[in-house]
Amino acid sequence: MSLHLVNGITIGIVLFLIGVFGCMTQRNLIKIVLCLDIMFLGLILFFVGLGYTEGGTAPILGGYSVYVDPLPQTLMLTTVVVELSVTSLALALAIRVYEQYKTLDIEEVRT
Amino acid sequence: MSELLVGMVITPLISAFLLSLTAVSHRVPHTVMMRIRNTFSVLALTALVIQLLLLAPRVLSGEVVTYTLGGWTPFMGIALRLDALSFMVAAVSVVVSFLGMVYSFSYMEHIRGLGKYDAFYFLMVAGIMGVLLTRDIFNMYVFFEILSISVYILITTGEKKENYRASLKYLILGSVSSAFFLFAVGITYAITGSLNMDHIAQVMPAIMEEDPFPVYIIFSLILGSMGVKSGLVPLHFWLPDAHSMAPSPVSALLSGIVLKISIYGLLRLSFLFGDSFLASDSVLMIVGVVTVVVGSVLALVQKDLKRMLAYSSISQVGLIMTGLGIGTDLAVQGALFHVVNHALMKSGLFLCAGVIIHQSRSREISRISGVSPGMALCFVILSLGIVGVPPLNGFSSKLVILYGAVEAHYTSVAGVIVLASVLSCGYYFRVVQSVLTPRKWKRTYNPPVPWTMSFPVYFLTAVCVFLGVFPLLGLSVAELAILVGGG
Repeated sequence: MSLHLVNGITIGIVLFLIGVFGCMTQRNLIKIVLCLDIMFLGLILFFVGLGYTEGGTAPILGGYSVYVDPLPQTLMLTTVVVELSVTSLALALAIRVYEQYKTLDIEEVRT
Repeated sequence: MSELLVGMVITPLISAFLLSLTAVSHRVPHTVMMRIRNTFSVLALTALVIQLLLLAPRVLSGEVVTYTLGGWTPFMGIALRLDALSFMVAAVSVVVSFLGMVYSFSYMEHIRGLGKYDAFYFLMVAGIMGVLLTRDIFNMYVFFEILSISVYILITTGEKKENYRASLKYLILGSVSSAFFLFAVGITYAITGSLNMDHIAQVMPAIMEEDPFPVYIIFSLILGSMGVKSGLVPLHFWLPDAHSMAPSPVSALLSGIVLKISIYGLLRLSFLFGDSFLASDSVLMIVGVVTVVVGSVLALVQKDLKRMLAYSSISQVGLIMTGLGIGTDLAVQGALFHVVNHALMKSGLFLCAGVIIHQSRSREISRISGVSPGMALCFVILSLGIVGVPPLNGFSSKLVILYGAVEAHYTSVAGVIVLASVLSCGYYFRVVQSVLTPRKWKRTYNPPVPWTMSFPVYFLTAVCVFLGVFPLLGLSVAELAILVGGG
């Protein structure tokens, strides 16, 4: 049964869930931002896994019979850009929060 | 004619990038630059209004305007579509964002880097129009992200430490909810093989019959994601911070429009699963009722004016969700009308609160003083509208929702809604009392209110009264929206 359990889809979902868990449990702001990253990377892997066909090639020019679905990959290019901007904005805000509160612990960032 | 749909997304997008040029360092005097910026923003928003007006006769006669980008077949490419449902929300959004922009001409004058504020404001409008028009679910995700990222940045424009905290809190929760949405998009693509809403809606019944389990997962993910974005009760805790810390025009946009966009997203996506999928289980209704009660009770104990308004938004969103959850035509019609009404009333209240805070130089309800008579009158009228007093628009939409609830034999739900209205009297009249009571202590210098700040409030109040006197205008559009939007 080893053939289909370890693939992009399952690993992607597991990474996504790890990311969500981390976002809920971590107290350090930098770690939370990293967990957001892990979450989105899991989703990217999930999407790319959706389009994968065993032994497929890239559908660029003719001369292929089995090819990989290119749509999820193009979608993921957009997601990478979105995720990059979210991460950079989150880190910029974390710097400002650290400047104002002198701590990165979200439990202490009150009032 | 249908090319105008592209224009409606492109106009704010181009304006955002052109306005961001005014933020770079330059030799032009400050006042000249400000005049250029203001003229340009007014022109761009006027263009948006004209485009909507040109399309209005076709859409309001029940027609659906569709445009496929690049001429690809709808199955392959991205389609834009304007029907009565999206038109209704788009019209309110454009009106409120126009007034918010006019308001911020003077309100935001002292903020550094005004070009940045204007640019992200227009980016937010572009995101709103994109979400409303698109027919492609991945594209919807991208526009939601454009919208959310510009909102995170707009919240920080106050540059106090609470702003950064509120923005970061919103950013983390918003990103998690966006990830849930993206996950739902992925599963949808996996089981239907398409991202186009029309195609998904065609394929969905067969899949539901064969194996409904993945469909339930998709819908729970969408409900969770939109629940966070619209502040349903167990997921609402970011909302009061973000909405009360943002500058007043941004608060007005956030409470009035951005919450409604998430509700629109939920409704639009629920049509993919069949006509009355939202009401097939009473979960949404129960969550809505809990939201109404918790929002009202928490609003009662607030001392800060804008925080109180934010909690009141939670309770009103709960009311709309209850209407959608009951699911009979009448209740949904009332809920859609309440979307419009609440957008107008709550943005009016937030703009009014901005003036009141400006005049009394305090955000605490008990310390409000020196409010000019016109503003006090507007605040009283808008509060009465939210509470639901007869000649105003809040009354008619609440009445239709209540009638729908009673008709569907949910009498206890109707009772809870009435109770929540009584509670809302409690928290609004506390402010009204504070506004109307003359203070004993000496009147200090009363800051003047520029017309750009008072005009939007008067305009929104006038629209609320107008819709209250002629409720059938709004109700017939809402009826059309259910009829056309469902397809």
